[in-house]
Amino acid sequence: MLTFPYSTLRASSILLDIFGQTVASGLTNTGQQQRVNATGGGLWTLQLEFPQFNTANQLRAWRVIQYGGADGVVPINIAICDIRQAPRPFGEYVNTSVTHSDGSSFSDGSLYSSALISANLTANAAVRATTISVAFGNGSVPLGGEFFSLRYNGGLNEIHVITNVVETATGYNLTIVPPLRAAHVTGETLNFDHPTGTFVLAGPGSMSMATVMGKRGTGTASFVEYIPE
Amino acid sequence: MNLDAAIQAQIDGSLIRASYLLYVDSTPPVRAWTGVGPIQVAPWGQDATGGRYLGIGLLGGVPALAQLVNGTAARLDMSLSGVDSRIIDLAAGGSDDIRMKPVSVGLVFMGEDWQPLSTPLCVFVGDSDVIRFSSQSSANGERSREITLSVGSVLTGRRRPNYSYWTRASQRALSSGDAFCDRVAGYNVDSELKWPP
Repeated sequence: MLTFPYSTLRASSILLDIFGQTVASGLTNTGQQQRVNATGGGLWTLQLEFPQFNTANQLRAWRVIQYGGADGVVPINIAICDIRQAPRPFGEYVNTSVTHSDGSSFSDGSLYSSALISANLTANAAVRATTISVAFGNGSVPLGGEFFSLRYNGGLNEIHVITNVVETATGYNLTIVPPLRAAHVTGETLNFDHPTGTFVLAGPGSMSMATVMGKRGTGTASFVEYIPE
Repeated sequence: MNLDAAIQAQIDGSLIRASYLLYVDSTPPVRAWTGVGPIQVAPWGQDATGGRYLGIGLLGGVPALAQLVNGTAARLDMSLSGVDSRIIDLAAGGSDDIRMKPVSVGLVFMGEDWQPLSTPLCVFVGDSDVIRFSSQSSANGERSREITLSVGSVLTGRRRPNYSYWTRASQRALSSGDAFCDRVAGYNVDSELKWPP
């Protein structure tokens, strides 16, 4: 299992999509068309583009994933940069324990704070469920369209997107896509800060990097979601 | 076949959510479906207990199902691409376990929540017979392996007689008064027949 070096390799272009086998019958004279989707929810695909690597660390990190991924054999946890769309708390901040580098606080005694998202399941969710019950802390409000992830099978991660939000007495009922890959229990944490999915390289040659003078490089990578046996 | 009302309503619409199920009545049984990830399926067809079906996702394919047309009995070749060498070894080692076992193909319709709308429909029943393997390399060094399970329907080979021997016992079993093969035991490769005997 590898972890994509999110902080070292920042993709300039992220294309996260659900691939499905949809068969269309063709358009009739009346404009009607029937489609058949046979995937049971679809499979994530991910394409990343990196216009330029400038540091030796970036080149080395890329090689670790490219060769360590073994043409799609080794699973890789990849976090998706989606901070702007995450359900950040409004005006409420937590994690107020960070000081200046010398250990001091601000003049009023306060410390650094960050708007971490707190979200937990409030009910058990079965495998292949498409609706989950979630309670948010710190005033976060989901609007739909946010990515999040859940951990399962130890170190694997399944990533989902919210497609519908219904407020309840205890939180929210979220409709998600694709269906859950595993069963989850009450209290599990939803990761909105760094939504992470477990992928594998789409195949041989799906991750490549060209270097200039051995110093700078550009790279592209394609992945598909990893589904354990 | 009477379709459930929910299935009828979906068929009348513009989007159909349906996946194929494959069940092989071997020991242990093989349960697979054309979706992604595992799915729990209720009893249907020859799968008397139902169970957890393994998603073969985008790598598996179910061929077109044909009815008996002009006396030609259809045979299904179901293939699974992208398998690794371990799966090939397992399939080769256990091919006897799956040969001549009943095979069912079902169709499960799903709602917007991607849960089964009703009990799956059994659309094909046959017997597995031949497993084939193929492995090909491409120019970029990629090697693709494929397993194909050939399944015959109840009409496949219906005009083909059972195997038998040209012996007295076999011939008398077919027709008790037939003495055509009574002297077979006395013949061998170097026998020279004298005529008249």
